[in-house]
This record gives sequence, structure tokens and C-alpha cells, in this order.
Amino acid sequence: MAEAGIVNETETQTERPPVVAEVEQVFADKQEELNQALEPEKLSIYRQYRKEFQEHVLANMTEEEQGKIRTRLADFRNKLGAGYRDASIRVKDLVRNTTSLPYVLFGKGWPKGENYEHEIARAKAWGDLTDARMRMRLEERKAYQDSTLATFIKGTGKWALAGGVFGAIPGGVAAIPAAAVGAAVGGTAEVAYSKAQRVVDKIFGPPISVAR
Amino acid sequence: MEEKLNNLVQRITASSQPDEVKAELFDTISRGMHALVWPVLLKYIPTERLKGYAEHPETITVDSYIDLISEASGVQDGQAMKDLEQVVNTVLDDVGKVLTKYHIE
Repeated sequence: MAEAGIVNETETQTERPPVVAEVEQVFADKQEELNQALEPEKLSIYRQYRKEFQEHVLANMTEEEQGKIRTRLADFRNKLGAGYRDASIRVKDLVRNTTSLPYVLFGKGWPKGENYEHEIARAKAWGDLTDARMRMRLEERKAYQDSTLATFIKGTGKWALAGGVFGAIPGGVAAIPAAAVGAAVGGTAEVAYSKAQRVVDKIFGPPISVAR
Repeated sequence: MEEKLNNLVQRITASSQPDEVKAELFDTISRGMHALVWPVLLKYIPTERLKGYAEHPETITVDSYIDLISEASGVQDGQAMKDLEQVVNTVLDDVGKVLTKYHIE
């Protein structure tokens, strides 16, 4: 798939699982449809602009200028983030991540100076934060489960003593493996949710703060 | 949009597809969504202005780039953002149909 919405003529297709290939085709078709709807030559003009931007602005940027660009981009990102109340945060993230061209170019010829290291560190911090958030959710849910389980056992214990349905379980309620009950209460679903949410976060890209 | 994406991710995660295929699907969706941003924004960038910059590279600066994107994003009403959300929603629906075809329910 082409980068930044531009068809890349030199990209070669490698063999992919059919489902992946079809999903990729869905995006490619939509991208092509959008490109076709643009004025003639606009795409080639944009390619030229992008090339000039890289060659004249980014490639010749000094360390000091790199610092300044971060400040300007921070303002830009904040402006995008604060405006357009009708647009979802995720759409803003998509736009912010995609249009921050200098960031896209990190690792693709961008001078690997102080800012490069900072960017790598920020990306790593984001990954760590995501992991921490997932752990926190799981711990919170586990505490809730434990609490629910305690109530569950307490209640069913009473029923067992009263000769209710749980009384038929050999060994009583205490014989039910705690893990099995915990999973039934929602533990398994929570793990799936957290994993999925984490993937969603990664798909949208890291929420970017360029404050230094 | 997030709800649609979340649904797709959960379906893929819960499927019996090999982990490598799941990872490829996530990667494809991520790259695909980001790749839709520029074609939408370009619709709102005046061609003549873009051409002017492209033909006179000395006028291209970080500031002019930011101005270009800010204006394209729709300073007044964020129409580009709305368009993008609609486009991505449509595509995610289509991706869902592909997943259904491959029994990724």
C-alpha cells in the first residue's frame, strides 16, 4: 500500500494471505476512487511539492531549526486537536499522525540527532504507557471479580447450606475452582477487550505530544 | 469509527487465523486508514497554491506547510475531518464484509 495516500508505482506486491490481500484491496480501491475524484494533475503536483519539501526544507534543516519545527508542529497539533468539535478524537489523531511530515520521515533520512532520539524515546514511552494502562484495567477488573466472587461464594454458600442447587455439588461451592468462576464472571472477556483496545490504539497511532 | 474498528479488531483477535495473519491484517488496516488521509485533504487544498509552492521551492517552509494543512483541514467547519470520518467508516464496513466472507465473525 502506498504511503500517505499516494500511489507508489514502484511498490511490488508480495504474496499475501487471501484475506489480507482482499482487505488491502478494499483500501486501495477507496484510495484510487478518492484520487480519481481530484482535479487532474493534482496528485502529481502534490508529489512534486512533497519532494521539494523533503529536499529543500527537511534535508537542510539544522539541529536548531529541528527544535523550532517541533514547537510549530506542537501549535499545529494543538490547533487540530482543539478545533472541529464534530470530528472524533480518532479522526484528529489520524490527521495529526499523517500530516506531520517531518515525523513520518523519522528513520527515512531524517538527521538522527537529538530529536530523533527523543522521538524514539517518546514512542517507547507510549508503548510502555499502553502496557501500563492495560495492566491497570486488568488489576481493577480482577479486584472487582474478587469482590464479586466473594459475594457469589457467600451467597451460594448460604444456598448450599439451605439445600439449594449448589448443595448438589460434591464438596460444595468451595470445590469450584476459583479461576473457573472468575472466568465465568468476566475475566476472559476483559482480557479480550484489553487486547483489542490495545490493537485499536496502535492502529490509530500514538497520541502525539510534541512538547519537549 | 472507533466502535467499528474495535468490532473488527475483536473479530480478528477471536478468529482462528494464525497470529501472523492477524498481525498482517492489523498492519494493513492501520496503513490503509492512514493512507486515506491525504487524498481527502488534497481535495481541500487549492491546486494553484500547491502548484505555486511546487514550482517555487524556495517558498516552501514549515510555516507554509502548516498553513496549508490547517486550511485544508477546514479551519471554519472541519469539513475535511467529517469527510474523512465518513470515508473511513465506509471502508471499515467493507472490510467487515471481507472478514465475513472469510468466516471471521
